[in-house]
Parts: sequence; C-alpha cells; structure tokens
Amino acid sequence: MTLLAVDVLPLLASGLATGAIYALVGIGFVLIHSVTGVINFAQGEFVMVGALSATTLVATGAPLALAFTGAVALTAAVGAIAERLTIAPARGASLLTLIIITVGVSVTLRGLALLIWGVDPRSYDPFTAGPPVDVLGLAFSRQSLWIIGVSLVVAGLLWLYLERTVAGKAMRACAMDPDAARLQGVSPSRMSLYAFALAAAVAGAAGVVFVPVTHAHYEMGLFLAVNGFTAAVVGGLVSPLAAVAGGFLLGALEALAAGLVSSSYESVIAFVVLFAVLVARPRGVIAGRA
Amino acid sequence: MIRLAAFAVAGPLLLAAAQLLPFLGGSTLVFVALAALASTGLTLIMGLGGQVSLGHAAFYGVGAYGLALLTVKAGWPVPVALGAGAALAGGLAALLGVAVLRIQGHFLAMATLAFGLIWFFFVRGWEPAGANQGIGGIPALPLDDDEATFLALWVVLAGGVLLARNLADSRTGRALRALGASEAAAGSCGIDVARAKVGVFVIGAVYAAVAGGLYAMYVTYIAPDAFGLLASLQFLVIAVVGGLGSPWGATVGAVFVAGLTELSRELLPYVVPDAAGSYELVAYGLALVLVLLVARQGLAGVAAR
Amino acid sequence: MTLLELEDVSVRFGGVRALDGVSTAVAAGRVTALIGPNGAGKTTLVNVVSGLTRPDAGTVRLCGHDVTGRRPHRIARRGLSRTFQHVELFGDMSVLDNVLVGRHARMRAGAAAATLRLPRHRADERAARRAATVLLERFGLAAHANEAAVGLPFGVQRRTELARALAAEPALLLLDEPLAGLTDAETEEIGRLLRELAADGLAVLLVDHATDVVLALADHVVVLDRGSVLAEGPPARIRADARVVAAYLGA
Repeated sequence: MTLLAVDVLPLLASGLATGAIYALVGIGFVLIHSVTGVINFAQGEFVMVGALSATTLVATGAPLALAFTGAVALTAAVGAIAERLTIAPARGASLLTLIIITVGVSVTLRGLALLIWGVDPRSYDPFTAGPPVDVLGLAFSRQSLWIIGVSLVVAGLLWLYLERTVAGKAMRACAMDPDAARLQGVSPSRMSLYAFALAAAVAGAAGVVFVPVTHAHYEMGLFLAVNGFTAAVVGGLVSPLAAVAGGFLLGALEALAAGLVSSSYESVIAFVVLFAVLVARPRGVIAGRA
Repeated sequence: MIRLAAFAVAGPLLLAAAQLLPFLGGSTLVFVALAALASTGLTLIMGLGGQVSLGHAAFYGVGAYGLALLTVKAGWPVPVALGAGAALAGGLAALLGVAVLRIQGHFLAMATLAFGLIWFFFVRGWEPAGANQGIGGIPALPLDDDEATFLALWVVLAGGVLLARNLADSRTGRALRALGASEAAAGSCGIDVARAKVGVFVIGAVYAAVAGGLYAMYVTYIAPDAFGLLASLQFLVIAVVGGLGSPWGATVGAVFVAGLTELSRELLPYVVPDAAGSYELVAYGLALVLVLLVARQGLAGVAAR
Repeated sequence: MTLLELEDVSVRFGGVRALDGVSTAVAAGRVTALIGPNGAGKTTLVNVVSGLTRPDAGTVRLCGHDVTGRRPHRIARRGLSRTFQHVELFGDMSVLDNVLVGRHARMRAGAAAATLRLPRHRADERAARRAATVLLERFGLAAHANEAAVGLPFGVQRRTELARALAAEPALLLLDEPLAGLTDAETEEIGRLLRELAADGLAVLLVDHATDVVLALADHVVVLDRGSVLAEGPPARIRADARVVAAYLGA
C-alpha cells in the first residue's frame, strides 16, 4: 500500500492542477448554458485563444501581468464578437442549427489559430522558478499551484460578480426566467453577450496559466472542452460550484488512471467518462429547465 | 425520373468540368464521390432522423478497417468483406443508437462526439489493426484510372441517393419526420419511436461503411488519422452546407467543400503568406456558420426553390 | 360492447396518489365523458390509458387485451387513437402528411419495400392516400391539404389532429380537452362529428371539464375527484348528484 501511495500522490498533484482548468472551462459552459440555453462547443477554443495570445505577448517581452490581462481581454473580445456574429443573429433557430453554429465557431477559431500561430506548440516559462512545493504531503510544481490558485481566484471573482453585483444578479435572473427578467428591464440579448464574454474571459485566464504545463497549441481546445463539459454535466449544468467539484474530480481521476494503468489511456478516460455520464443521466440532470 | 437523369448526367459533367479546372484533380473527384456517399448517410441521420451525430467518421472507419482486415488478414473476398464491414458498422450504430436513445439535442451531439473520439483512440492503439501505422496491401478497385473510378463511384452514389430519396418519401420517412416533431404524438400514431431512431442510425452508418470500404480499396493503405474528428467534421459540413432536407444535399455539399478546400489551398497563401497547415479548417468553420445564418436549408435547399 | 376497462388502477407520484383504485369501463357506440375538477387525475388517467404513464397497480384492458404498462405505440396498434390537450401536430409537415402519419399503423409496406419502390409499397401508398383524402373531405380540410400544419388557424389544427387520430381506424378515440380554445361554431362542429363517430360504432372517450357542452354531448359521464371515481351515469343524473356539485364547488 505504501508503494502505491508513493506512485499515486505525485500524480494527484498534477491531476488537481489539470482539474482546476477543467473547472474553469466547466464554469464557462454552465454560465453560457444557463443564460442562453446554448452549449458552447467553442469553449475549449476560448482557452486556446487565451493561451496562444499570451505566448505571443510574452514573446514580445511584455511583463507577465500585462500578458495575462491582455490575453484575457483579447479572449473576452473574441467571445463577444463570436456571440454577436453567430449567436445573436440565430436567435430562435432550431437546436440543431445552434449546435452546428457553435461547432462552426469552434472550427473557425481553430483554423484561424492554425493560420496565425502555425502547427508547433508554443510555451513560456512557469510564472515562478523553483523546485516543487510540498502542500499537505503532495508535491505540487510551482505552476500547478499558480494554476489552482488563479483558478480559485477567478472562480471566486465570478461568484462575487454573480452574487453581489447588480449586473451579475441580472444575469442570474435572466438565467432563471428570461421573460420575468425582460419585464424588469434586463435584456436577454445583452445578457447573452455578457455571458459569452465572461465565459471567454474565464477560459482565457485558464489558458494563460495552463501554458507552462501543457504548451499552447491550436488543437488544445477539444480535449479541454470535453473535460470541461463533463465537469459541467456532472454538476447538472446549473451549478458552477458542482462544475468546479466535477472538474477537480475528473482531473484527479485521469491522473490516477494514467499513472496506474497506462498513459495512453489518459485521453480516452475523458471521452469514456463523458459518454457514460451522458448515457446514465440523459438530460444532464438540469434542475427545472427542459 | 427527370431528376434522376439530371443527377446521373451531373457526374460526367463534373468530370468534364474537372478537366478545365486544373486544381480539381481526378483524385479529388473520387474523394468527392466517397464523401458524398458517406455524408448522405449523415443527412439521413440528421435531416430525416433529427439526431445530431458528430462521430460519423467512426462508421466510415469501421467500413474501411473491416474491409482491410478481412481481405488482408483473413483473405476474404472483397464483396463479402465489404458487406461484413457494413454489417459491423450497422451493429455498432445499433449499439450507439440504443445507448443514446434518451439523450437529446446538445447532449446527443456531445455523446456522439465522445463516441467518435473513443473509436478513434481505440483504433489508433489497436495492434491487430496496425495501430498508428495502419494497414497496407488492401486489394485495389478493378479500375484503371481516377476518371473511371469516379464514374463508377458516381453510379454507386446515384444509387445511394435514389434509395435515400425513396426512404425519405415513404411511410418510414414520414414516421421519422414525425418523431422529430413530436415523439409523444408519433407514438400515439403507432410509431415505434425507439426502433425508428435506432434504425436511421443504422442506415446512415451503412452508407458511411460502404463508402469507407470503397475508400480503403481506392487508397490501398489506410491509417487512423483519416477517421478522426476532422473527418467527422468534414462530413458534418458537407451534409449541413449541402442541405439536410434533400437526399442529394450531401452530394452538392461534397462538391462545394472540395472546391472550397482546393480553393483555400490555392488562395490562402496569398492572403496569409506565412500560414502553415490545413487551411480548409477556417473555410469549413466559416462555411458552416454562414450557411446556417443565411440559408438554413443549405445549398440544395436554396437550389430547390 | 365494452372496449376499455380499467380495473383498480392506481398511480402514485412520490407521496401523492394521483389515481386511487379507479375502476370504470367505456363502451362502443357512445360518447363517454370523463370529467373532474383540476387535480382530479384526468391527465394521469389519459396517460395511463395511452401508455405514457405506467400504473403502480391495476389493469387496463383494451378490446379485451391487457395493455397495462405497454408502450404507447403498442397500445395505439391495439386500437387506441388520441388527441392531445395542447395540439401536437407535426408542424413542418402538411395536413395531408399529418393524416398519413396517422395511417401509419394501417399501412403494411415497410422500409425495405419503400426503398426499393416495390409494387407492394406503391399500392400501400395509393390506398393510404385515398383513405386520407376521404378523411380530409369529411373534416373540411381538403383546401389545406398541402399547407404546413404549423401556420394554420387553431380550429383547423384541432380538426387535423382529429382526422389524424381517425386515420388509424381506431376502436377507441381518446380526446384530451378537445374543445378548449374553439369558437362556438367550431365546438358545435366537433360535437357533431363526435356524435357521428359514436353512432358509427366508435367508442369515444372525452376527457374534459364539466361544461354544459360536454354534458350535452355525452351519453355517459364518469366523474373523477381526487383520484377516484365519484359517480357514474347519464348526464342528467350526474348534474343532479349532490356529491358532484359539492366536489366542483369545493374545488
């Protein structure tokens, strides 16, 4: 048993870091879905945009803080533009149409990234240099701590926004009852825009912290989207908190499976879990909403 | 009848056009026919059956690998291997169909996406199928050149489109459209909703598998990369842009996508000089979005009006 | 002749007894009205009979066959057709196509015959279209035959749904609040049609509120209250029944 613990624990640390990323992606899914009813297939690509644009900013010599803010702002803008150009005009379209539109956005972003940044993965150094840090018996790489830390902060800020600000509460109201919200003067169209911009910003932030660990690449979005979505579905697609929990769980599960079984299984686990969750809970357990 | 004749003539016409347009090579047209056949199956699943499928390439792959393994490793005759591949794909589709029966909309899309990816990763790691290296030495099509191959495939495609049209314009077709509109009402009319949904998945998969088997014989060497997400997305774009409401929509879509792919390969280096990689990705995405915003019934739908 | 028999049917949703030991029968050749205040269990009963809800106890027999807990399409094939409270038409399909779908169970040729356009399929289609056209004429829908159902006036939609239900030549016609939203003229028209169908031998089960129209239309009335049968009998007797009056006043 001790041998197992020695093998398993280091994996857990990196798994939690990845899980934090899944959590942020998952929150984005929940946010957009609860406000607009749309599953944003391009959510993973938002992470990718944040990651790649950060690599460019860092490469031009910008200080990390500036690169971070710049990348997040850019990603938020991309999210907003995507919403205005593709979702807003398609209001009232059939579900099939909306799905394919967001798939289209996802593919377009991936294609653009390929054209702008090419095929090769890009990266930059971890935010702080140094050996792994021991936290509660687990050895976390410094960047892992940054990832988890930033993720929790971002999630916390989002929570504050939704719970404590008037704008955020308007968004939640829109999510719960768009018609009632409209009567109160809240515009669902504007809320949709904000939801996309916010979800993109959150994803962009995830991208920026994730780069030193995983390297930015035009195809990185898909895997993150699948995992983030799984995390969101486990949480019923209504609860950001459950999405966060789901994300960490999934990250840990994958790391364990990769370490204990085989590393080639790491990717498949995500897809198998998603498939299994969807089959077991067909409607994703959406409380009160069709 | 007139439509059928027009369709049949379109093939040779396309071939003639290809002689004039240098970038539409013979092999491109062959791929157009193959993709159109596979995507017609997707048109049935999505357009008639109302179910989103983002993993269609898996069935294409089952047909290809089925044919390859059974002819190369087991020495089976080609027609039998082709049929077996189609049956395997049908069986897999039935399993998938049953698994996703209660899943709708976005979740169904995600589930089929996961399914396609699971299949892809499985095949990539499966030693008996050559893992990443793939399988070579597949018996070739008994045709001399690309032009002849294209015409032969066009005949097969025409047959497939005709069968699809017959199915759509029938009691079964109506039942499928009905359950897309209201499952409860369809059930009350005596329609076995579960069987219909699974059935259309199976039919669509068979189309893809036959196309896949023919593809394997055309290229004589297959590797997993041809059956991943990009392929599924290609089929999706072809089916949707071509028009989900028409049995020959996928054919129009395939021609369009081939033209778009080749065109972007020619033109994009002028627009973005240092660009590398597959340009068509951007084009696909934009095509998808634009079509759905501007002309939801797809190109075939617009042409029909 | 008894076409539908419910024997001691009970349905429980969580802690609520939606139906509690309901026993009743519906005969052919007459209009039976099942009435009750809101929450009486009418919708649950409709869903049990049509197969959308499985009862926790009891039996449902249609034309002598046990159809308890069977799936909707199986019950439909046994001779039940129904309409829905909120009209459930196939919106993008034409009126004719909607009625043809109703004919589904009566058509023989399957997917294979259709795909290959065998003579069997063609004959089947011709017969079905003839039957559908007759129905369209009877219901005054011929003018709308090729129009998409979704854009039609509400009264026309209700008639289309009725025509679709009858296309299957059912033994029992189950109607879930079919008169809601209709004008007086349309109500009278539907009422006349229902009486005609009953006279032709069909068992008509009309589930609705206790309005004058419904009571005038019915030959036999079953009153449901809080999940059980409160009273049964001819409309006049039901109207005078003190318990029924109390149930409605108390609701």
